[in-house]
Amino acid sequence: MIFTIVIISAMTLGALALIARPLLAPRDSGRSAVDPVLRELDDALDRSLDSIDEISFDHRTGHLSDDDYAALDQDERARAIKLLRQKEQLTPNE
Amino acid sequence: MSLVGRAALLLVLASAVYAIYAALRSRRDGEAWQRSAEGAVYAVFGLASMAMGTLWLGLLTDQFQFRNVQEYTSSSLAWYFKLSALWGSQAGSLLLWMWILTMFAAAAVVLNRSRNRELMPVVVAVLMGIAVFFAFLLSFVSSPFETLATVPADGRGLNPLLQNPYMVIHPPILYLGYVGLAVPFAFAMAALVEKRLDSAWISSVRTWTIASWAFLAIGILLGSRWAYEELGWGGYWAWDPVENAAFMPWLVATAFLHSVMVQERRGMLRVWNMSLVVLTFSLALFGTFLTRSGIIASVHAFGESTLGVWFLGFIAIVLGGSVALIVARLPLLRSAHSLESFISREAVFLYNNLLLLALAFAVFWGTIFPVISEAARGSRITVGTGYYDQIAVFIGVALLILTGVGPLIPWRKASLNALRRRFMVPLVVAASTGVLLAIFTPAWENWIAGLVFVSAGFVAACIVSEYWRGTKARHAGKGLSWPRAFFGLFAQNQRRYGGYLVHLGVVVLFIGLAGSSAFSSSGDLVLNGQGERGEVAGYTFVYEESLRTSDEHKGTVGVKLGVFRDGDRVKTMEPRTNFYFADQQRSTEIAIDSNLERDVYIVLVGLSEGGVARVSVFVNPMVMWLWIAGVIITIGSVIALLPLNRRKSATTGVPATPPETVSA
Repeated sequence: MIFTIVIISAMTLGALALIARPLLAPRDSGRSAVDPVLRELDDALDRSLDSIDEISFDHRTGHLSDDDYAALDQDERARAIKLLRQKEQLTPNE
Repeated sequence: MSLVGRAALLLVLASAVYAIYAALRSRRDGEAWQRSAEGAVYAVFGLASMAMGTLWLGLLTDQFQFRNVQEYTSSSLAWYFKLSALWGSQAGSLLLWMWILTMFAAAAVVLNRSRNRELMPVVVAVLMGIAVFFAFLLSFVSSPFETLATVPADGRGLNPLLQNPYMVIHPPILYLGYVGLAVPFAFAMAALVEKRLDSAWISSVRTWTIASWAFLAIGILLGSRWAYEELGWGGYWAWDPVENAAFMPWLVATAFLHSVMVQERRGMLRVWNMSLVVLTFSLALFGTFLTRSGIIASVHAFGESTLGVWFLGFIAIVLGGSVALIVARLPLLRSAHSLESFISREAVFLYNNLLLLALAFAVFWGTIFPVISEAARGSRITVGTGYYDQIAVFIGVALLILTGVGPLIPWRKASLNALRRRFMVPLVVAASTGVLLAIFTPAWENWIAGLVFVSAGFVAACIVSEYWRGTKARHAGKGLSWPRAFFGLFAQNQRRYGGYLVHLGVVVLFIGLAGSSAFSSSGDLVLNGQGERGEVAGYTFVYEESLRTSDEHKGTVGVKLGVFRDGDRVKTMEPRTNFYFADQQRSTEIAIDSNLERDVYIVLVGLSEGGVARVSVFVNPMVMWLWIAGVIITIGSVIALLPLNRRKSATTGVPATPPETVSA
């Protein structure tokens, strides 16, 4: 019975520790230092660059006509440039 | 031990409720609450693991004071079947469902520690909301830790049908698929709540959706293999309600995986994609409900229980809440473009979606019709396999053809010249396939099977031509050697070229389905004594010996049959029947001889004291193709999922793959 009580107490305390720690120590050093806004910009930029590659590959393999390729490529590049500019504004020193 | 398990479940419930509160509060009060909510998610996973561990320990160490241990194991059961007995019971399988959910929730939190921060509070709240539902059921409605007043000396043993290696892995893999669909659902809800309805949420759930889809596909195939080896009726798919329950979310998830590409590329089908995510998860819940409610009769289902009404209520909440959210956000979900041509990649994806949904609806209708008929007219009218076969055959062939057509048609619109260039070779291959089949095989004796084989030839040629075009473009564009250009395709665009491999698996699957269902032969033989012979489908079966053995767990009877074709011995086969003493149950051990051409499948129906053997023999062509298809689909899915060549521009500001083509 004592063993059972010890285990249940340990489970309860462990759960409480996981829950309370961020509230008691808000600046958790183990936390990633990555700025979430920057990370989201990076992710969006990655997606945009992937799209540019894919559109180009689709064109080379004949899945896009010249006109469609030009239009889609232009749109996607404009988006990538916009994201790059936003990123530059967030990280002006890099 | 029971107390530990019960306490763990109650703590799961409490922590999950707290996680919802903290996650929602974090939307107003900031990051610390969000991290507290995420800490609660880790706690929920740890506690759910504790509950799983406790039950597994009970099963492994024969704690027969637990009802679940006593009813589903015995002391003589092999250790791996003791472990798998956890999902043999109603409550144990619910615990497995919840444990996988909490594991996925914790994984989603870890993977999004610095991503999707605006979405994560709602994602956590939704996933924990689902966890609360399951923890509540496990704590107060169907506890896996229920104890018996008197402790019996031994357990009743595991149903012999479940004592099969496929039953050790089939349910967990299927559950990985079912439960994995909760994550895309949670992200979709978060995108709706936070009004972030661009394609970002779709990118975040892509891996989860592909993985869940693959797990469902593999789980379904493993279940079919189990049914084929254990149930002894000579087939692998019977349109059983529980089989349908897994098939429906798989169909809708397949539709989503395709239509999502249209949203990514063209900004279209946003409402449609949201609806598909909701429908897929609701069908996963419906499947869980169907197996546990007791409303349908199935060899795969659990017995009668009171869980059905709880699940119905939960499904109603999920559907009602999701639909209300979608309706509220309709103005934000307008498509950026509209369909420009009915002959375009996006149009083909739409046709594919409509067919998949039509099939899912037909299967849904056939599955619930007995329940509706009973409620409306007082008598249960069962829908036969003929209904499903008729619908599935035509939709299936159309889907198969679209599998080949889709990737070859350009986005936006296709010119007649382009179509002619693209489809010339596949059409020639299809025509040649038809002619060769007519000359060398009896395939056209069943015209539907012939049509499937010809379509399969067409689609295979389409897929090969896509690999060829991609390889040629890389070879010419980058000056790579042919092998490097080919294998590099998979790293360059994993989803596309892994996906084509999955398509190839689907082609092989269709060939197996057509061959095995159209050309199967069977016969019953009564062999009165040694040396007597019988014939089925050109094979001669010679009764060589009867077998009777016994050990402390079971008695076994069997017959040794020599299998001959054109006078040559093909194989010696030994179908058997086991009788398990602990639970007084009988199971048939089917003898199967497999190769690419056919399976010889023998069931021992009876062996009299006088040695008269009655056997059922099935000769099923091309069944092995189904299992090979499963392997190809698995490999294709893994390629689509592996992190082979992801950009890592992240946060350092230096993209791993420089954006050569973009200049600011």
